[in-house]
Amino acid sequence: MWDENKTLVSLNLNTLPVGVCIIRENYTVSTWNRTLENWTGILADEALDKLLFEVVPSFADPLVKERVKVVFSGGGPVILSSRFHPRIFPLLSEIQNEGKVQRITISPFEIPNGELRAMIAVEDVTAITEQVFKYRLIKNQIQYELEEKKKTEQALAVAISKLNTLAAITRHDLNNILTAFLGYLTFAQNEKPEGKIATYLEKMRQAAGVMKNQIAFARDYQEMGNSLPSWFNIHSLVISSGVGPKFSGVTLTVETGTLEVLADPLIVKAVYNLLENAVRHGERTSVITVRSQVIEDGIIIIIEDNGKGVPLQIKGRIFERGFGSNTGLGLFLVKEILGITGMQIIETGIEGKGARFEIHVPAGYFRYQDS
Amino acid sequence: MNVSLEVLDGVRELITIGVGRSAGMLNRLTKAHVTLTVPEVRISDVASEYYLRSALCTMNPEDTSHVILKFSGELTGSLNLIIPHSSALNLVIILTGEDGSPDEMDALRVETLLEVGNIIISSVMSAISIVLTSRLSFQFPSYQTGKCDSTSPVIITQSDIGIIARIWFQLQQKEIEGDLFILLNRESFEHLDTCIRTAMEKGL
Repeated sequence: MWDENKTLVSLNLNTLPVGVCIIRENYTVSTWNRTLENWTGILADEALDKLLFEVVPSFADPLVKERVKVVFSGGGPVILSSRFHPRIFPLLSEIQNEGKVQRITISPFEIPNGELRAMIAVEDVTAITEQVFKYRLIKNQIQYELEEKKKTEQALAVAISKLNTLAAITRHDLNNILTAFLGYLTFAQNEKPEGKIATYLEKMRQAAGVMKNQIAFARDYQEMGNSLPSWFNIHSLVISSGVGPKFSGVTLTVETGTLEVLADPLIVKAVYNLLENAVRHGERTSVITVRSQVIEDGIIIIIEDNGKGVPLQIKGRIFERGFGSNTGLGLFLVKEILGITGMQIIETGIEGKGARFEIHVPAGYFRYQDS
Repeated sequence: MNVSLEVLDGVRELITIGVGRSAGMLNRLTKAHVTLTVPEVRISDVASEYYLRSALCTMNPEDTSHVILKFSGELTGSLNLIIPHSSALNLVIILTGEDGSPDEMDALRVETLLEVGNIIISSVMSAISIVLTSRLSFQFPSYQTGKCDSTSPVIITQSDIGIIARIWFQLQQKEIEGDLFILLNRESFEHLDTCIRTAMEKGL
């Protein structure tokens, strides 16, 4: 049996976490649940059978009135959003009203005797509204910071481009002067000087050679990181680097399958340097093997040879800039090139048995890819 | 499909009445000068290619916002307001007078669009109810986003007949276009057809 004021229906409505008010077609209140009592301080007895506009003055607003009318004239449910109607039901005290936001929905329904009713449900959406405003604020802040970062990056790109141009011009000019210098040095040596003069001229030639290497190093170092890293197949890289007269008589074995690493394009130079070092410093190198080994946090690429190996006393210094029996730039550059994408290189060979370089490639920077 | 001019006029008139009422409500609600016009009303089989073409011709079908009201009873079907997503966002921003140019339809903006859509849809529904003889049952209006093509739930429907009314919102020198779809099963459309003829005989 339907008894709007007292029955089970209103008892059930009392348990809802939303305010519920039901009105008749003549706009009198037929149900006022306990949540509304608590929120508004208006008891059900004070609201029942009164006109809705008298109990909740906001419903007297012509626009809101018109919206309610739509519900009774077959328009279906009506939504009064918190944006346009922040607080239709007044809360108990002014202090409670501060910042509170409600969302109202009004749905028509028929009771068993065929009469039409409209159920007004009131939700407290203060928390979600505050969250959205905070979210908007954070989003705006991030957007602002991203724009600032973009501007900084653009400015940096311009500065880097200018520096690169300056460095290239300087290197070019230095090379020209050095070529002229070496030319005159050759003329001087062709005069067959003797004694100290001959010694000094030879030292000048050696110094010029070092200068040339330093200029080449500056060019390579500048190129590092200028291009985006890309994927390189280790097998192809080693095979294409280990060709030419320097490697005649050396057996190159590559057992890395389809392994690819994410690296700066200068990795081509790094791999060549490692292979060339194996031949030059190994002195008696006849076999170079390249393989990989899976470890817990990535993989290790092992490059080992059967040459004379790295002397124990210099092991710790071979990756330093300026150290070495050739130019002192090779292994330093190799370490720097690999380091761009998080790879680390160490030497673990045994003197007399051969050199062994281990390149640690972190997870995410290698993959196995069929071409 | 064959729809008499008389019924098409009747449908157009009911929609125009509803949309006109909703424009008045929107004006008072937002204090913005909103003009709503219905330049075009078409009725066709939902399954026909023509229906899809006319429904989607002006939209980016990849990205639309829908406000949907389902109903049953004397008429069974749904009323759908579909607006390109970026236009829907623009509409909400203009109506609420928000600053900046946000790119996201967050929860508050969805709620606002739901009310704007609800004002239009319920006004049109209320106007259609004028010619009906009994009350309809309604589901609560819902909001959806996404594709509006042949795989969309709006298109794949149990309904047979689609009434498409193009709506132009004009506000602050901007024009925003949306489509109002009234999807009905065949029996419902035939009933609506009869109701409109009866109402016209009596004088709508």
